[in-house]
Amino acid sequence: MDDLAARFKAGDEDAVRDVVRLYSGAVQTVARSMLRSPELVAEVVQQTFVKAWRAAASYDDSREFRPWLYSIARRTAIDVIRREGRPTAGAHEQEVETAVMPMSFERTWEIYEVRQALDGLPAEERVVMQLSFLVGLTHHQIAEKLDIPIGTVKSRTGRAKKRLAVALGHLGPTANQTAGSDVQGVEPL
Amino acid sequence: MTPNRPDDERNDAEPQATERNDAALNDAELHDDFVLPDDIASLLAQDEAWAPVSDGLEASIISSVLAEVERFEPHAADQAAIDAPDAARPSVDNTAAANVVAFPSRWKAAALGAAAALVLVVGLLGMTRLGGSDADLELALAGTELAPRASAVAEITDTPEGTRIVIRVTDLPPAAPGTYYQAWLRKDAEVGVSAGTFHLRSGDGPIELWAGVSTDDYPLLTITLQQEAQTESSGQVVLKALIAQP
Repeated sequence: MDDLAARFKAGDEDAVRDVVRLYSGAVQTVARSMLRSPELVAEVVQQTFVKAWRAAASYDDSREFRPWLYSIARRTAIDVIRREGRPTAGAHEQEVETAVMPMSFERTWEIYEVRQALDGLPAEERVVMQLSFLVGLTHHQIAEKLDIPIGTVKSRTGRAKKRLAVALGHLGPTANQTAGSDVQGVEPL
Repeated sequence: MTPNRPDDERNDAEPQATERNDAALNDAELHDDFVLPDDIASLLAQDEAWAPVSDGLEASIISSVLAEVERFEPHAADQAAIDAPDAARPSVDNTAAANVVAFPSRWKAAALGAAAALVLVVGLLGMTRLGGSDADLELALAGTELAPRASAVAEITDTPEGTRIVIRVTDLPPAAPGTYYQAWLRKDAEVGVSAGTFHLRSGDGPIELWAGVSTDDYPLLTITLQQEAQTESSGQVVLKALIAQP
């Protein structure tokens, strides 16, 4: 990422595209966890990257890029919440109902990191994880839906969990807890 | 929903294993016994963790950042326009996708930001009846941070056929090929009705738009930048005004 951050800072077009593609999902996750309106979420995501480039000149290369971008995203979302919550001139009512109950700083950071880790999974592992954890399907149902053997569903799910545990190990002390397995044997994200 | 799948299905693998080529199956494939921490598992169950980013939004972000890059080190041909912000709209690359966010440089960005704030204040103050036309209502639209130099005046008339809106925009660049502007009357953040689309590529004369809803019920007027093939609002609001009824 160091090289990518440096090229982003320099305004390299390919780097800009790569940074947006790598991080837009995670930034959107922050916005969605703080705002209800799809329009405002989109505004926050766009503004975050524009602000990041404007601030890139002062970006310290020795710092990690991901937390730096996260802080911009959260601050941008808070600014939008404040702006939308402010009565307009002439004492109008609040323009639109905007904010959801914002997650704590830590919780928003965690879901930002989780999204980043999910975006780094191989596509075939990501889809079984989504069907399992978000949709709530069983292994058997996933196998039927994707028309793949159930053993493949289990192996993909197992590998994905291990990758996530490696990628997200810094979030909590329990990431390496396993039931008869360890996190060896998978490539980190 | 149980975030971490229990092992209760492990036996289900056996019939499948016999159906497959056993040589391709190893013990590891039959096990999913790795348990994620509960806090991570609970985050995986949230919509926010999975929601896709639309292609239109991604393209719009890239265009906006590259526009910043372009403006930070402007071409000589653009310099005159940058040094004279009130001059006629520059013709080089002056399209919406490239210039919705169009600060010429970082230090000038601060100055333009202050100007944008002033425009916003003026816009908000202008959300009252201005008079001077046959319209029921005339109001000013303020540029957002995505188009801080843009502004517009809208004349709104309630007719037997629907709500007629005539907009005259200032300093809103033409929409780039593949993009267009769309006007919306919104009830709230979630509910809005399109009032029509335009692109400004051949001029910026009055734009006549129609909506089938009343501003009594849909009092927020917004203009968004859209990508072709986009059916819903992109969320890229470039102009907006809250309609204050007389």
